Amino acid sequence: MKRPLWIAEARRPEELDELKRAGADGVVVFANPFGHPFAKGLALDEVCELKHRAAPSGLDVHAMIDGIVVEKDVETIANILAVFDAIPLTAVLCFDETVGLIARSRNLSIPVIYVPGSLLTNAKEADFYGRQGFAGVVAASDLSVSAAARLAEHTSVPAGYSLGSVALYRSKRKLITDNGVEASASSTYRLNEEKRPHRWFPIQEDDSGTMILRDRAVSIPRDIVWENLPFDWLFVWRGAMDFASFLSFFQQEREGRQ
Amino acid sequence: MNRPELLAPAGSLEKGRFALIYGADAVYFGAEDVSLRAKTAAFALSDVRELVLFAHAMNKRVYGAVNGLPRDEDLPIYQDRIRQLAQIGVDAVILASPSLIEWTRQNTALDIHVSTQHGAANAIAVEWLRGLGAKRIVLPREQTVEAISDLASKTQAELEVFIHGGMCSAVSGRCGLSAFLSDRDANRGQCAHSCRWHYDLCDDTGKPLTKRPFTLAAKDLQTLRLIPSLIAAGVASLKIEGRMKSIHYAATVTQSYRQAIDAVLAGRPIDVKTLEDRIARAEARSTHPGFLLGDPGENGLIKTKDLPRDANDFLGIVTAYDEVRRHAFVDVRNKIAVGDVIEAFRPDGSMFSLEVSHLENEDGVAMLVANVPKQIVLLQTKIELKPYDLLRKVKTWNDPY
Repeated sequence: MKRPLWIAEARRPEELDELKRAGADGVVVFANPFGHPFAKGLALDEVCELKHRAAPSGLDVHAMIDGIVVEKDVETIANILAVFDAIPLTAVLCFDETVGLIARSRNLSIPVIYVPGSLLTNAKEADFYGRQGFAGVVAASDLSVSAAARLAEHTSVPAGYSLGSVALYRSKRKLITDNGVEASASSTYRLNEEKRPHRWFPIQEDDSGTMILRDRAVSIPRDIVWENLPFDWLFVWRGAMDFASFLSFFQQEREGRQ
Repeated sequence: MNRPELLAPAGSLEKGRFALIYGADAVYFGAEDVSLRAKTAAFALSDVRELVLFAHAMNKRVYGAVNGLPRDEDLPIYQDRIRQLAQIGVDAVILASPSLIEWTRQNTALDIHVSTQHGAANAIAVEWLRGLGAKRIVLPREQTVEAISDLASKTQAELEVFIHGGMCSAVSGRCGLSAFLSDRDANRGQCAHSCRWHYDLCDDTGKPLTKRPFTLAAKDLQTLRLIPSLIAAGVASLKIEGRMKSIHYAATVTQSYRQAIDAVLAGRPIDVKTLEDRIARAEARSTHPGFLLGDPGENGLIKTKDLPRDANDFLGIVTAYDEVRRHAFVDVRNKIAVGDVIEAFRPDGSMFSLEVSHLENEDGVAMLVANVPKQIVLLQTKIELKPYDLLRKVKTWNDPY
């Protein structure tokens, strides 16, 4: 049985040592300007620095290019991919398959892993993306752990699962500003549905739109036998958590799964 | 000049027929269990067969939406449904899953349209999908006219654009609110419209930051003024959303856009004011041009639940006319009374008033009021009515929007 690699979201090079100590096999960073409202992402030189710092500890370094790719983004993404290919990073993760298609069209050798949020829901779909040259896929975030595990078991393509703070809703609209509140990147906002008074959903916006996160971090239920999980990766996302909370969450998940 | 198709929703066999009669070049329906309206507006195969026969007799087209996102256990149902639609002779299937696109190309001769759920928003993705066998791509609703025009110039795929109807406030296919809050998966046809519920925006202490709760919902799309630009952009199909909406809506909105498109193709200006007023008669929600002109901002959101409009405007459907007795057979949808002055609305867009001088039921018993929905009544009128004429109240109301 394969052992999944634990890949933790990092936002600054200084976080690597602690994530390594907490049991991370690798880290994933968002690539600016393709982060999301909760994670602006690192500039190319910062990704280079982070990779440099990760080298002695042997941590894998992945970069995520988030969001739907529109025409004006294509050249920017191609340039970013060329840099990541040259560094080289372990892999690029993408929300939109276009990133993988760009890498393929530019003959880049960097592996691309497809992480389409809620779209990848069955093993045949995963196989399909394998045939299209993707190095792996991450199962839909709304699949249960056991459903995602079934997907991973039945595909020939390396497959992962998302833990931690997962997006529930993505919009191109600016729902905070458009409701008369001046959105600040440094403020914390929460959304509460009127019939669910004790549930608080983190919400944030930036120029790309609005993201709403789940009110609870996704973790692996304790009754699931760890050895039976056929994933290649477990990506652990930070969302609205500060680093200390995230580290604690990561450690708890990781240690419970030794 | 580019002659785009006008594509209208068929939420039922009857709605599909009306959309075609009222000017749609093609209609789309949700295949049972496998579309995004899987539970509420899905077609049985026998109805699909009838709709295809009806449309093809008019030299028009029918597309079947199979655009849910299947789990492993759902795949055989999706594949069976696609095979059945191919056997019936639908003109295309609308798919969201690339592996199903590949499967459909390998196993059927159906034309393939890629659903907006897939979110292809650039030429590389569009051309890749075309290479997989897709003939047409339905673009995400977050594109501007300028971006659509640019995209159209870079691909040989047909592009389809939403021009009217409900809009997800989220990027299509990327919303888990319904699945997470009510265990109804929007990507498998069970959307609970959680975006229309009321929410408070709070700071990290839980203190509300807005004066009152608001919805996340977007206003419906309405693009009459943009039809010339969309035609000039090279869009192949102009799509109306609304399989869940009424026959009155399907007919009125389709007919209005038919007039707008025909005006542009004939080199005439669109009578936007008249058509907007006409659409407002059947539209229950407030409207906006969405992202087609850029970020819609706060005007694109509903914020608070729409004020309910009078839903009793639509009175009935003429199913036949007896020239000898000068009786129209009317399928009643709302209260009609003797002495009422009502309005008839025709597939060619014409409208006229008439007075209800006599009503009787099918047994010949005179009635003062017909108020049982779906009852067939005989309505006496001096003006000859025709099958597919719609009857509605003559009224004016103040639009609060």
